[in-house]
Amino acid sequence: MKKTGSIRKALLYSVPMLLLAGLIVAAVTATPAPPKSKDKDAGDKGTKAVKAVKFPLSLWAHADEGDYSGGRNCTNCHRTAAESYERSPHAIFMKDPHNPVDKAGCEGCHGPSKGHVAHRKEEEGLFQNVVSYNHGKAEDIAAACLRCHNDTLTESHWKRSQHAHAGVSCTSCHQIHWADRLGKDRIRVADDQKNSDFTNTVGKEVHESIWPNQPEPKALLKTNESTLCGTCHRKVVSEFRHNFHHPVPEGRLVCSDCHSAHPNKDERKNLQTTKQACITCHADKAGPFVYEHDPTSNLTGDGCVECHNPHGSPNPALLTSFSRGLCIKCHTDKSINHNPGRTCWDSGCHSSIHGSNHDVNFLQR
Amino acid sequence: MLHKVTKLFAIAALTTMCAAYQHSAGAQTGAGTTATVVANTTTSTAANVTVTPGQDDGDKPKAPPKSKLDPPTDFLLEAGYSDWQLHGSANKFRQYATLPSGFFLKELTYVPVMASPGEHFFTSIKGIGGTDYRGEGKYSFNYGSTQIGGYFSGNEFYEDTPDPVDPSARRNTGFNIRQAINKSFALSYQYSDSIQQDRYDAPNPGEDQNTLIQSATASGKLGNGFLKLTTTNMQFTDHTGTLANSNTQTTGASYLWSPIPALDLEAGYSHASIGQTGMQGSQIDVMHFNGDLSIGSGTEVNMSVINRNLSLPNIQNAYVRHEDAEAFAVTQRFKSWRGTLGLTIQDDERVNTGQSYVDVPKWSTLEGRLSGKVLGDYKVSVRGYTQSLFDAPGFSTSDPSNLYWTSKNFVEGRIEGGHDELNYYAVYTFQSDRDASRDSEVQSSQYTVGATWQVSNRINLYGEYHHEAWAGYSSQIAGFPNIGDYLPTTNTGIVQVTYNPNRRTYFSLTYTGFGTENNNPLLQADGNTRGTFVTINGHYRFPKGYEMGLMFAPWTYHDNVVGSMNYSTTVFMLTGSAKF
Repeated sequence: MKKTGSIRKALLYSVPMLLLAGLIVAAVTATPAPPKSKDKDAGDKGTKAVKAVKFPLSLWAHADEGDYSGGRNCTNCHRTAAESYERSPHAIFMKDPHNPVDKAGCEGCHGPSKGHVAHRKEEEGLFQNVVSYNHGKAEDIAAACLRCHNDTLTESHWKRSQHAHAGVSCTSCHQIHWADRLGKDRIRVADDQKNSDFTNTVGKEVHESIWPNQPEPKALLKTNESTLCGTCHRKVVSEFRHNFHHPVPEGRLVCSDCHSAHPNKDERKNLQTTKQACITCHADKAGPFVYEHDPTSNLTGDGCVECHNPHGSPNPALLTSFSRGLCIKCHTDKSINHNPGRTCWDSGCHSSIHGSNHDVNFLQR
Repeated sequence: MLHKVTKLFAIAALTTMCAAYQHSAGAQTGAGTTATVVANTTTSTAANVTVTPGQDDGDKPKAPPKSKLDPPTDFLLEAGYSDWQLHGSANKFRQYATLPSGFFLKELTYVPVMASPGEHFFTSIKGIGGTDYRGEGKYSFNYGSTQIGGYFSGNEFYEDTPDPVDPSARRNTGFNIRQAINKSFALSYQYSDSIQQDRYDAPNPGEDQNTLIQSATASGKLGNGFLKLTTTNMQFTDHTGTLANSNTQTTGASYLWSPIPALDLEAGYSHASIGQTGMQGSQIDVMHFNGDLSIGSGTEVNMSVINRNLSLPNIQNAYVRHEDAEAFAVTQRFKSWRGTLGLTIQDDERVNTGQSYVDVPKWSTLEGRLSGKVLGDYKVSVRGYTQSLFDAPGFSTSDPSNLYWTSKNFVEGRIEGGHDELNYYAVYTFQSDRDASRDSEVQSSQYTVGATWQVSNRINLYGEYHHEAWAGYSSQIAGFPNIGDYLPTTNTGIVQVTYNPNRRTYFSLTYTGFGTENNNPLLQADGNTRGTFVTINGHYRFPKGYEMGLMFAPWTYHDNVVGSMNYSTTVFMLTGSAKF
């Protein structure tokens, strides 16, 4: 009989409580609308200022059409960046004649140029009137990028992700300005390493490929995925150097073949089980089998990672233990006296260890 | 047949697109070629252009200066010659991939200037004519509102067996289409076909199978939220007739609603139907609900509920028919610090082996994470979890003691810091899994330390060392060997020196090594191994974008127990690339 504990009840009731708490928070923190201005000359600017829009979205929200130059002001000072941008795939989207003025050209990403040009010599005001993707906070950069990239990801999706919690911004991994269409040359700003907490340790290393023959970086990534992800996930890189590993160093796989760098809500680790991720390539292990090997089969244990270390392992087949050690750490009653030979699964006995349609002891089919 | 049609379509699409477009005279900048270029990678042809902000043109408009960028080019062609000088086990050397041998065409990439400003095309083929190859192409038009892409790849590799076996192979093809309905909603379709042929040593019969996956998605903004609809079909075919062919159709929907900026609520449902040859159909239903609430600027409350129902009528031993999992977490930010504390409770209705009884084991997991900065420049983070099992089920094995881990504990600490010239990091991980019923425990202790030092403008040093130690024991196992006698201790390390004598030249010397030891009671291969891999690279970039690379790599692998696994090789590879 299924039991329901008091803790579960509390968690289930937290659903409506969370909604109620949110509404209360909204009510308490709501800013009342200011009285209408009696100044006839205030016009639309007065009502625009009422809307509580945070930086950097405020740059576009509070701008008039006259604040945009169409990119003419930009090339006067940022010629190389503008040239390289014109060669990038990103520029194609920004040239769409249907784009509104606040989503076109340089100003579509960096904000209207009028304020930036007026304050360009002010050290303090410089980055308050323009979106700088080298100096901005991660959440500000995400807000700016998601003005357009909101068909696959929302700010709500991003800001709860572990990457967001670690201060990783869009431009930590993606580059918008390219030097050539072949994608082989990257434009790198000299003070790139002075960016957020994340890129403080990325620095110049991000462009040094850790392994040769890597697949082309997708989606305007700064470099190939192994090098980019490995800049922070050092321990994972060291796991791939083991004797047995998924063929990422050999260029046959990339990180995004298994992982999602932009997790949507329904990709939390518990929603898609580990086994569901593995059977995309290893469908022969999917089952369901007539005789399942619980707890490795799916839910009661860690699934595939109960026995395998997917990045790399010193043991064959990426196993977490060597030979019979894998089996006897659970089946402690089956030591060397039980049919001594090779391993339990390649000595001709328990070959169908991932599940069998023929034998409850997973004997050779 | 469908796979062959798909592969032909992908190749035909790429070649047709290549032939359909020509250079546009207006795309040539005609600018000078005084680019400031630094070549700094190993075997790729990448180069980097360094731009310092504020050092471009002055404030007042002047006559346009010479461009600092190379003129745009459409083609990249890279070819080379390689020789292995291999002695010993070819199986082990080619365990994951096969290096080219003799003359080879490494890469052909074509990115033309399109006639319309709203179009972009890219295609690249690598490993042409070899056993390991890869190709991809992308075409977008209507200013990116329509995107089409395709790929194919093939790899040949070997199982690392003492005796030679036939090569195994993987062949993948696929294509995808994406059509934007408006600026915030899009439809997409993906198709992939993966052929897997694995060859092992006797008595394993090997595998010959393919997996076909088709997926359609509609996602984007809808009202004050985000909607995602997906349907996926996965078809598995075993050509040996050993495993049952299967077809899994999964359909799902989710909606993320943000009624106010501080609150996100998401609900979703998915249904999977699994059909298997000669067997009854199976069903899996999953419902989930997530809520995230921001309180002020520093506090977040997260909650999720997942409910799974599994109808698996073919299974005749133990399986889970229902699962509930609830998670609750609070995250608090304070200045540069962030801390998270969460609790997850999961219980499964588990049908026992004889299918006469239902157990309900429960797992409770408490996890936490803390990260922040100390002493200004040092970034530290600590994370961990402790998991406990309650109401362990009974088992029908010869020893009916519980087989699940009754407790799992994990902790990881990380510190990194540095400045422009010197960066360093250290990571320590400890994990312990215990089954109290059988008095067995497995522990893992690992640490990784590394640093990068920019010695001067021309010299860079990088080093990393990783140590991994496993231990295990059970009082139920008498004498030798116990669990720990099968668990390895491993060391891996890398040291790399790179030298840029000038902007066009790049050298690197890399040493990578690993060593694995365990008691290896059955004296099997792969238990006590040592590998040393030295790679020397040189790279020179000529004017006008031509490049040349040279690699010299003596590699050795040694198995202390089974000598037939050893190999030594000296790889020599000369490559040249041209852009035009």
